Order: sequence, then C-alpha cells, then structure tokens
Amino acid sequence: MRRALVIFAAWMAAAAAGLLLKNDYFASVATAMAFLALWAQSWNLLCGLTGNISLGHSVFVAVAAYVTVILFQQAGVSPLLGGLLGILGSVVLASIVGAATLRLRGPYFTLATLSAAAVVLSLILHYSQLTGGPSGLAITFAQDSPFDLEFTNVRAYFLIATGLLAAVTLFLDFLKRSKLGFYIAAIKSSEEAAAAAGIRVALVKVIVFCLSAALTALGGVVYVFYIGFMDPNFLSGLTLSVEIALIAVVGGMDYLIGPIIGAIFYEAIDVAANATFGASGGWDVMLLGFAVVVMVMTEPRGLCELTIRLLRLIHRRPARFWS
Amino acid sequence: MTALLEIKGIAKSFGAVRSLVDITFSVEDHSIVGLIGPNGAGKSTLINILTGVYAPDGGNVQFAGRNLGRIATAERARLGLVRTFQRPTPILDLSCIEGVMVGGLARGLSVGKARNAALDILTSLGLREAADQSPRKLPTGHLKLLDFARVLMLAPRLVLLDELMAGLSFSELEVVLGAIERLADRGASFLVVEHLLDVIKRLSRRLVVMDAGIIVAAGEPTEVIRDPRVIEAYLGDEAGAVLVEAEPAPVSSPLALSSEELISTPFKSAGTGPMLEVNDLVTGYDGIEVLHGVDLIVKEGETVCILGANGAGKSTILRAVMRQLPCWRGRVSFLGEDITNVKAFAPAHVGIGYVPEGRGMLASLSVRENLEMGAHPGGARAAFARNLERVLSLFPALVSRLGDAAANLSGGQQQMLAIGRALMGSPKLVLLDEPSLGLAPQIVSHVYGALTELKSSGQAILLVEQTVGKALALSDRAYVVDGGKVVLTGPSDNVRSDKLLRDAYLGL
Amino acid sequence: MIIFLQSILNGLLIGGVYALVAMGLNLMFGVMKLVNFAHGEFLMAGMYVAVGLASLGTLPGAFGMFGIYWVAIPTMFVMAAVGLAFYLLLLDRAARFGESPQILLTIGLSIGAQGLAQVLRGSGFKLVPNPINGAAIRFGGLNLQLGPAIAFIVALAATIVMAWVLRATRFGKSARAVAESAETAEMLGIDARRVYIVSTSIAIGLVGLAAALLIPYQYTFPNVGQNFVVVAFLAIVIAGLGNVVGAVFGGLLMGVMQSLTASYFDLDLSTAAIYLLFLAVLLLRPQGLFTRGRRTL
Repeated sequence: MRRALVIFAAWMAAAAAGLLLKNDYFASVATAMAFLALWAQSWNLLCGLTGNISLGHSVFVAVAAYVTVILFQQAGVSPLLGGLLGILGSVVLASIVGAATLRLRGPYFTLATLSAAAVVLSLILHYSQLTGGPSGLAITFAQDSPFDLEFTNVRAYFLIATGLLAAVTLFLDFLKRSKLGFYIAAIKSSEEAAAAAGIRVALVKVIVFCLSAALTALGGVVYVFYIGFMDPNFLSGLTLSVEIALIAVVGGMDYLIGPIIGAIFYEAIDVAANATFGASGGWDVMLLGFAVVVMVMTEPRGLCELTIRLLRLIHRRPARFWS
Repeated sequence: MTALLEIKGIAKSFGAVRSLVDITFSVEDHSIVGLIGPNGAGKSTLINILTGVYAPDGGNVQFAGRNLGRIATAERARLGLVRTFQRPTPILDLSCIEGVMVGGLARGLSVGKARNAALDILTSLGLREAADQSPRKLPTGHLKLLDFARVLMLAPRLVLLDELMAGLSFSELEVVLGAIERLADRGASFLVVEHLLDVIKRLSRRLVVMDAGIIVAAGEPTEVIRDPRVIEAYLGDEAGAVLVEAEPAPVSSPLALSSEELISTPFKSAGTGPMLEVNDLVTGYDGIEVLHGVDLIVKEGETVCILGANGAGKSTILRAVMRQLPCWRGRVSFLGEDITNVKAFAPAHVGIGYVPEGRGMLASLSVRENLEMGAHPGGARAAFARNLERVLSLFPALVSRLGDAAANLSGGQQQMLAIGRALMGSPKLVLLDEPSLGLAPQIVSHVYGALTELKSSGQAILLVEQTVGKALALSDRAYVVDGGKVVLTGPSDNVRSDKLLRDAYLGL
Repeated sequence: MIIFLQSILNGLLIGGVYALVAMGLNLMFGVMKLVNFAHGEFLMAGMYVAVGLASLGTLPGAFGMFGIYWVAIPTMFVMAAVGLAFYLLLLDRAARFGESPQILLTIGLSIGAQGLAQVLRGSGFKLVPNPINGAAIRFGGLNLQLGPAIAFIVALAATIVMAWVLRATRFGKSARAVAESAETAEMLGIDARRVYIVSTSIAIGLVGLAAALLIPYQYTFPNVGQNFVVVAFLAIVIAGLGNVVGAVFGGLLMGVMQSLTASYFDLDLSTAAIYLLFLAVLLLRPQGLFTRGRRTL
C-alpha cells in the first residue's frame, strides 16, 4: 500500500512538472522517456524472469499500433476499442512465439525473437496497400478527440504516458506478491524444482510472455497517436528492440524502477548531446551500448545498484525503493 | 489391495546405454522403502521416470491405482507424488518461507493460508528463525531442509528423497528423520535413495538394492545387506567371497569416526621420496566441501589404488591433482614441484597422464587425432612414433580403427583409447578414474591385462575404483576413502582382509 | 530461365561474403560457445579501415582495375589485431560469466560501435571511387559483377585454407578438441586460452578480409554490419552452430535464397522467407541442416 502511494505521488509530481514545462523540446524528451520506460518495464517482466534476452519486443509495439490505426482509418473503429484489439493481437502473437520458444535458451531465444520481429516487419512492408508500406500511415487531426486518442496539446500524451508508466509499475509491484509472482521466482531459480513443486512451468512462461507483450502493446497504441506517423522500420525494428532491452539492463533488471532509471539515463544523454553539438548524432546509442559493456565487465546490477552502493558509502544505510 | 506405487517392468535406454533393464517393485501406504545401489545402478534415472521427467521405454508406473502414463511432473506433484533433488534447489529471489509457500500455492492454497502452513512446517523442522531470511547465505543442510519443507506443503502421499541426507549436520539429520517417521505414521510413504546406510537401516522397513539397471535384492534391511549378491554389487566379485564371512562390526553412532581412530595400518614410507605427494587436501564443488584433508603418496614404479563407496570423494582427489578443482587448503606436489595452483593444462606437461571417469573422448576427432592430442606439441617425431607403437601394441584393437571417429568406438575400445592417449605423452604417472565403469567383465579383464603389462614396464599408476577385486589385485598399496577422508591405508593384501574396508562400503 | 540462372549466380556471389562472415562467427561459437552479436560491427570497422587505406591510394599500373585490393592484407592484419584486443580486454574476463551477460556484452558493444561510428564519421555513405564498382563481365547471356565475383573467389579460397587448417594443423586439431570439451583438452595439456585468443583473431581477421572485399562496390555506413551479421547468424544456425565449413554452405544458401526470392517475389517477402526458414530450422532441427547430429568444427 505504501509503495502504491509513493508511486502515485511520484507520478503526480512528474506530471505536474511536465505540464508546467514551457519548453516543448524538454516536454518531448520527457514523453519519449516515459514511453521507453514503459516498454522497458514490460520487457523486464519477461526477461527478468527467464534470464533470456528478447530482441524482438518492438514487434508488439508494431502489431498493436498498426491494428489500431488501420481499424480506425479504414473501418472507423474507435482507437479505444481498436487499441484493445491491437493489444489482443499482440497477445496472440506472443502466445505463439512464447510457446514456440519454450525450450530455447540463450542466443537461440534471442535470435528467435529477433526473427519474429523481422518477419512481421517484412510482412508490414509487403502488404503496403493496407499498411502504407515503408512510408507508413499518417495520423492527422485538427482538433481534440479524447476517445479517439487525439489531443492537440502534446502535454496530454505526456500525462497519459506517465500515467500508464505509473500504472504498469504498480502492477508489476503487485504481481511480485501474487501467486504468479511466486511461481515466476521459483521458475527463475530452477525449472525442475518448480515443476516438482507442482507449478505448470510452460503455462506460466507463456502467460508471462503474453503479459509482457500486452503491456508493451499498450504503450504502442498511445505512442502512434502521439507521434502522428508510423515508420515500420522503427516500430518493428531491431533498433527499438535493442534500445528497450538495454535500457532495462542499464537501469537494473532486478529493480522495480530500474527500467525507469535507464530511460532517464538514455534520454539525458540525448539532451546533453543536443545541447553540446546541436544534434544527437549517435551519442545516445553509443553511450548506452558502452555503458552496458562496462556494466557487464564490472558486474554491478545496473545504475540502481550503483546508486545504492554510492549511497551506502555516503550514508551507510541502503536507499529505499528497491525490490 | 493395490499398493500406493506399483512399478512394473520399467526399462530405459539412452542411446546404446541401457540404464534400466527391468525394474519391478512396489511401495505400500504408510511405508518407508530404502533404495540403494552403487554408482551407475540407475537410481536417479528411476526417480526421473517416476516423476515424469523421462518416459520409460517399457513397463508402467501406477500411482494410487492410476496409470501415470505421460502425465507431466507438475501434475504428478499435485497428485501427491513429489521429490527432492540431490543438489539443493533454493528459490533465490524469495525469502525462505516464501520459497516453501510455493508448494502450497501450487496445491491451491491462498497466499495467507500457505504462509501459515509454511510457518508450521518450518517450526517443526527447527527453521523458524530463518523464515524471513534469504536462502542465499544458508548452509547446505538448511537448504535441503527447505526443499523438503516445500514438497511437504503439497500434502504428498509419496515422497521420493534423492540423497537428502548428504550434507546434513547430526542435529539436522535427527530432525529430518523424526519428521519422516511422524509423517509415515500419519499416512505418507517415502522412497529414500541414500548412501548413508545407517540412515537407511534406521528408517526403512524394506530395502531394495539396484545394480546395473536391475533389482539385485529386496527385503528386510539387515538381511539384504548381508546378501552376497549385494556385497558383490558393491565390492566386485573377487572380494565378495572373502568379506561375506567377516563378522559385522557393532552398530554405533551413525556418524563417520575420525580418520585417526580408523587408520589401522599406517604406511611407513621407505626409500626415495615420493613421486606424487598430496598433503591435507581440502576441496569441493558448489561451495560444498567434499574432501576434508586427504594425505596420499605414490612412489616411483608403484601402483596405488584408491577405493571407497560412491560419493566418498575418490574421483575428487584425482580431479584436484589435475587442477580441474581448486585446492582450498593443502598441497599437491609432483617430483618435488608444487603443483597446487598451476594452470589446468600444466599437469600434463609435468608428466601426469589422466584417464578420466567416462573416458573423456574427443568424440568428433578420429582415434589417431585423439592419440595425437595426447602427445606433447613440439615433441620429437621419434618419441611420437615410439609412443604410438607402444600404445598400438598394448591395444591392437585400435590399429584398424585409427581413422574412425572416437564416437563410433565401443565402450571398451574407448577405454583403451583413453589409456593409450594418456600414454602418448610419455607420462611419469598415470591417473585412472574408474576404468571398469560400464564395461562388460571380459572387457574389464582385457583392460586390466593391459594395465598389468603397463605396471610391469615400471609405469607408476594411481587408480581409482569402486569395485575392489581387480584393483587390489593389481596394486601394491591401497587407500580407502570414506566421507572425504582416508580411513584406511596399507599394502593391498592387508587392506583386502581388513574389515574396515567392508565397513566403508556397507556401513555395518 | 536466364533470370533463374542470373539469380543463382548473383546469390552465390553475395553468398561468398556471407560465408566469410559466417565462418568467423561459427569459429568463435564452436570454440568459445560465444555468440558474437557484435560481429557485424567488426565488419563495419574493417570497412572503415579499408576505406581509409584505400583513400590513400591504389596500386599503380600493372594491377589495373584491381589496384584497390592492396588494402586487403593490411586490413586483415589490423582487424586480427583488433580481434586480439577484443579477446584480451573483454572476452578473457567475460569467459567466466554466464550466457546472458555475454550476449548483453556483445549487443552493447554492437550498438555502442554503431553509435561511435556515427559520432566519428557521421551517418554518411562512403564509397571510394574505383573501377571495380559497377564493372561486370558478360558471358553466355549472364551478367557477372566483378566486385562480388572477386569476393566469392577469395572467400572460397579462404574456406579451403580454413578447412585445411582445421583438419591438418596442430592448432586446428587443438581448436576442435577445445570445441568438443575444453576440460578434456586441458587435461591433455592444451592451453585452451591460447586457442581462444588465436581463434578470435582469426575470426575477426576473416571479417577484415570480407570488409576489404566489400568496399569496392558496397557503401560503408555505421549500420552496414547489421544486414550482414543477421544473415550470417541465420546461416550458421541453419548450417549448424560450430560447423565452420558448413557455415560456408549456409552463407551461400542464404545468398541464393535471398537472390531467388527477390527476383520472383517481393524483396520484403524474401526477407520474411529467410527468417521463417531460420525459425523452422531453429525449432525443428536445432543442430542445423549440414551436421550429422554431431557438433564438429
């Protein structure tokens, strides 16, 4: 309960700060941060569990986004409903991929997820009458229409994105203490022992895959309306998948707010690079990648742990809000 | 009335290896059945079949009157057929009590109810203080108790215990034994796989002995242990006849006595300094100490064997010498040089050849290439040719197979290749780890024939074996290892007739 | 019919480069059980190195249009040295880590390198003007592009050399022994770490060679490695992880598949087809198509 209140308060503070921000650039950075954090949190649900690295999560963003927008533009289905269908679509895909990859581990799993995203990308590009091909579909609107997820003031999306992030974080926290959370922890330690204790390992793994996909998809649906256009190479691309994964890793996969910290870190580099050079020019990607390399070599469990260690050195008492 | 568990005609092969040939026995309600057998008997395979990890090739398993068929492991657990594992399986991300609760949740309890039930079980096992701690820092004994507690949460009807007792302290052992006895009275049954025979004797009302995939004997524990077929299974045929007549020692405390009290004929070293000297060696795996201070020497030209029951630590000694395991304490020196901490590839270069358990074939390389790998790089061509000729004359069966991949050789041929490969490096000392394992008797004779020839050429040999007969016949001196310590040593003839040898294997 | 033959030809030629990249990748996996997700970035780095060298000048006169290829040898050596550094600085320590940290390490290195390239050289596409680019020979109604053809021939030669090294040299046999079981190899006196070092250098050196063969006709840009490495991954899994010589056939197969499906179907469908084939092999026959169930180098 206490945690829920803290998360809610944090969201209120962040939302207020965002709304008060005059600078559009910072607002857009903050919004991007929120979406990335949301996706990284969702990714972490799956990959924190299995220890496998998925490099295909962007596919859930893409599937949900395209389903929603196509239904909206071609069949007039409200994005709220269409979004649900889009999420459903992602979940169906996740159940297939999850079941198929049950026995895969390590690099095989990673390559399989990567391939799934690539197949979907190719299909999106191919069926261009439906999807608009490489140039994607444009979403234009002149006035606000909340039920169509259309807001002229981009701050609104910031509010929604951060709200979703807070909700997902809360959900993950709640999940940890539920039955499913126990099963997940057991499977992570030893699948054999979990099965011997009566846990249906395969079912749990697929459910987790689907949950992870659903949360990712949720972000995807709102994201396309925020951005206003759809670039399939980005939405179902390897780059986004890698970003999502590494952001969660850099922040700290073992920590509830790890992915959020990772997203802040990533966008902060962007801001700094922009300020210094006037363009981001590869700095964000470079530092993200090298930060992960350094992390793996020196073995801390992300920025969260680094911060805790520093705080321990300074205060000799561990910081709160870790899980 | 059908028994709780009925196993009929179970057979299982892995490729060409027949792990289980024909297993038939049953476990009644309210009973505790012990299952023992030497290394490679198939006990773990049987447990895996009972829990649904493997499907049997033949036969079936009936539990509570129901054919288990291909039912999944988790399903069987929820039906009441549970197991523990040899290595502890703690749930690292949860506290101890949460790790135990998992079993109850799977059975359908709510989080709250599961927590209460778990607390009760932990209290009865003496682990209440550890409830909210993380399992990461706990000793092995506690972790095994936690595993036990977890499966108890499933309110099981049959519990398969796979070497639960190893690593438990005396008090932990008492707690577990008490818990098992209470649970058996209340209706649960247990199938206990163990090597600690005192435990088996105390707990079980029936004892089943397996060897090489079949059941060798079954019945009342004290009778079964004296059955000559059982003794033969553990000690090998040549020693069996001699030991059957020896009187059983009085039953005392179930714990191992200190080695000082048990060494009956201390060996006095004479002549030149030893070739291999091991002092107070302490090592283990996964943080668990397996050797608790072993002393051993091999002198030039000698053949020495190391005997002991499965799990006693014999192979561990060889692996430590070969630097496959770190030495936590103690010293190993060879020809006067300290090799305790050298790199893993160094022992071969100082002159120690190694024939590992299971032969260590480089399966995809050809026979010839395997032999080449045994030789030292940059060595003179003449030496290589000479060694090759010597190996091929010792093992003529290899001549026609030089171009074949090692994977295609029979077990006996692989063993010969492994020995030959070790000889290619002109070793001063050859270590052999259970060369008879998994081989048919006439092949074993053949291998030992070659070893005899080797011995007579002056080669120093250190041999680990579980079956005593042939090993004692070949060697000059013997060490007997029990529970990670040397409990007996001396000239082979003395050791053979010492009843402590039998005690070390059969714990009588 | 002509289209069919032309497609196969093009596919084989492209496949040659894939084969070179795949061979090194598989060598590293076979020996060290490491999947190097950054392999494509070594290709990219090699291409930048080769382009840098090529802009210094080409060989004169007698070599005619092939003058640009002098960069192959220095690039190979530079990249082999880079491979050495890669192992000593990163992989040596990472050997102790589990699979996931190793995957993360190479993924991080991969995008870090792409970012670095962008920061240092910008995202522009570079090509050193040279006569090979666009040159082709016609025979029997088929178009033989010179650049890819030369790459193919060299790749084939390199494969034969690699196969010989693995079969006949002491190093090659030691590498196969270590690939089979590092523990067994060490007990026989083989220094596994030395095998890892040399294997990594060879693998990255091969990638350097591939880079030099590509620059006459392929644009260089920060993300260029991505396309090649993903196909290389598919190739090695399809061929069988650890099967170095088989990887070559895998590379050729990938090239031909890509080319054929692109000729007869949409480019995008051809991409989808390749990934689907990959998934099928991964799920149904994970040991690969070209191995006989045993892992060999």
